[in-house]
Amino acid sequence: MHPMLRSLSLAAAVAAPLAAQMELRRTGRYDRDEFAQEAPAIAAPAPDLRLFDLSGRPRCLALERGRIVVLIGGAYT
Amino acid sequence: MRFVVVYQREPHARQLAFGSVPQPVADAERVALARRTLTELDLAVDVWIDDLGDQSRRAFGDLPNWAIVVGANGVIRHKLPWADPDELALAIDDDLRWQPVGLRPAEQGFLSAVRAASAQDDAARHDRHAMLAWFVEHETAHAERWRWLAELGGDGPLRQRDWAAALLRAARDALPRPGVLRAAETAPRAAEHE
Repeated sequence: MHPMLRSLSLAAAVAAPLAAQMELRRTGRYDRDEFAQEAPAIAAPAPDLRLFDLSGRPRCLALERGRIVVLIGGAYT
Repeated sequence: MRFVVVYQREPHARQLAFGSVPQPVADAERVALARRTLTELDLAVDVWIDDLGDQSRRAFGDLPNWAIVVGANGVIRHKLPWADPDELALAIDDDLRWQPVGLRPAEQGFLSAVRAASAQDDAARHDRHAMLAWFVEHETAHAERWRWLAELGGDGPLRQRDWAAALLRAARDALPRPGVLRAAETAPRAAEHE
């Protein structure tokens, strides 16, 4: 398994028991097919993101073209 | 392949077990929470900080833990409403099989674009700065590196200017100092006289 996925497994193991997130998952908002069809849909160009990393370096999703990028949304809570 | 965690708005600030965690109202507060997350979960991963206007949520929806796989051609290949590691592994395996060959990272052809780009608006300026930042980190011997660093340090938000200033300091510290050079030149001669 990719090292990043191992880390994600660890993070998921920590986050999974959190009642709030589990409750959200039961609401139906996490339907895989519905989410896939929402804009931007699969096979559509990814919208650009213009953000900064932890060090303050400016980042653009468009600049990553040429390699596969796995974006994962997340937060502390 | 690159994994990027986009650190977003707190979905449960001041709720449940997170009563002591307020919603960040400044970029620096969101950065601090992102660092805390990496430390407590012992994660080493690229993190991009979503802006306070929640750019990533506007782009990809307001679920708190989605995963999006973007192919090498910039097209969305997979969308997961929840970043389940097993499902994500399947999606990535699928994508690796279909990765187009012959594509090269975009920045390799962007030097001329950097020179030509004008900064008409915030988005264009950010794009230019992101390209300059890539060159600053990868073209460390390029003659224009100092000029790029000066531009990055003199424009954009404070955290970008701080980042560029730190790189400038590091570059200056790495330069040989006259005193050091003199010592290096005289040491062998002294040895010869002994």
